[in-house]
Amino acid sequence: MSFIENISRRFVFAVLIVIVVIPLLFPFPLPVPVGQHARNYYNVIKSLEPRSVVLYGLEVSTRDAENYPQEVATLRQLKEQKAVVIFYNFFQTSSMGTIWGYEDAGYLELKYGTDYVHLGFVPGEEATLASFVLDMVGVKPVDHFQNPTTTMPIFQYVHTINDVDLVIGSGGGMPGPNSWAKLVIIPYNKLGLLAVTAGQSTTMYDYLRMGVYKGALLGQRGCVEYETLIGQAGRATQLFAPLYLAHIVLIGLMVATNVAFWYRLSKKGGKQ
Amino acid sequence: MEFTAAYASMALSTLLTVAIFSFLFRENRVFRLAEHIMIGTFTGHTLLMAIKNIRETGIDKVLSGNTILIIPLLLGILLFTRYSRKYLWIARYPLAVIIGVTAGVTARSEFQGQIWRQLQATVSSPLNNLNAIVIFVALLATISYFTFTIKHTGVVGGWTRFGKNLVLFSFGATAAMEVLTRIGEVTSRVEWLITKTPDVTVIATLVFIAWVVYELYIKNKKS
Repeated sequence: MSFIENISRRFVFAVLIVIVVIPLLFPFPLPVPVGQHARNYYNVIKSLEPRSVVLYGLEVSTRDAENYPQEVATLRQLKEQKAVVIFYNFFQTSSMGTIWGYEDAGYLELKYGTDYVHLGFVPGEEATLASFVLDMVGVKPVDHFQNPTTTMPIFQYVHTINDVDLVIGSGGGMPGPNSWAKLVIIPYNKLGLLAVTAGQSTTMYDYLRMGVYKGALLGQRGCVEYETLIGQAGRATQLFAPLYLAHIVLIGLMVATNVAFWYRLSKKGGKQ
Repeated sequence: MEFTAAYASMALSTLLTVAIFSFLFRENRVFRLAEHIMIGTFTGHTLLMAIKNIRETGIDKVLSGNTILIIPLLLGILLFTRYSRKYLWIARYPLAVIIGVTAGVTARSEFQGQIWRQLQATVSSPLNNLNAIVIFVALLATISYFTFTIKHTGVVGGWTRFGKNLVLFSFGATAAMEVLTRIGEVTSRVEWLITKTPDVTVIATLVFIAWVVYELYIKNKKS
């Protein structure tokens, strides 16, 4: 059994790459039952009135398999609901990801400044967010494209957080959904939704349990569930089979190496 | 495929991705080059964005008559005194303002969001299902582990060890979920490689395989 413990890491990487490539070349569907968090997320957006204002705190810097498909799928449903969306980024690298997402969700058909606005990167992290929700135009006088926000139709009736109907905290780091919950949703008692990476999800369960966030997309799996609900299989669904297979292989390797370890230990009478 | 600026950019991205992946075999010069390009690009972008933000939120507003904003701009400039041994002490003032403002803004929300609301949710939820019971017991055990005013021996020791194991269990769950995220990153990158610029990917991969074969067999044989 010692060979299992001595498997080269290069071999593991090679196996993982092959496992990821095969389902990408020969895709196959996987049945994914819809969970309660994703269903709540869908229902909250579904219950929005037309022209509801959504403040979307979005942190996505690459076309990854989690935050990016979450963004595209959410925007598709928000577009169907005719919601007005204001994008806000904590990280400078998120501005480009935001644009890719709303382009893919078909937002270029809508009217910029009336149906959506991309404020872009807002420096200053949490302290600025606390000021922003009290005076949006004052803190962000120009949008991502250097257009003055004061003259935009959206900001003629949206001035503070009180004019916002829904807050979405999305991203995989700090500051991010945690800051939206602490500084905006809890103090101003706003309706909140959450979209995070799998890695971030374990730290967010408390907010779901407390009812701060009413629904959530937790990792790629959460997004696959949500794509099923909106009836548009997107990037998360497309990339789910490789994730699933790679995960099974990793679990298999972990179990095998642990069995080998305990077997060796039992042979030596419990001494390492 | 037509050679356009967009294609060249995607091809460069593919080459850099393969260069970064080559680290999985061994650290090498191509990997280091890609790493330095990434760090350099990010630093340049960060610097540019910082200058842009100071101009937008500070200088432009001061020039348009909002003279009070001279104070934060001056405080910002004072931060640079930390590069001088003689005037290092001056940098403490802007730093104190930054820390004070951040603490003031977030203190209430930290307490409300991280402590009060969580306690409320735990204490007020009825213990009528397994999930609620697990959360309640885990809360008590974990708090016990971080209570150092009593000795962790005997029954208390067993209880606090249980609390410690729960903390480790939670770290394990977080690490496992992080692995899922990282596999997702790899998947999306591999998908990029095989769909966006398959021709460049094939060439780069063949070069990579040739290098691996050279390192593993030919070079070893020579030495």
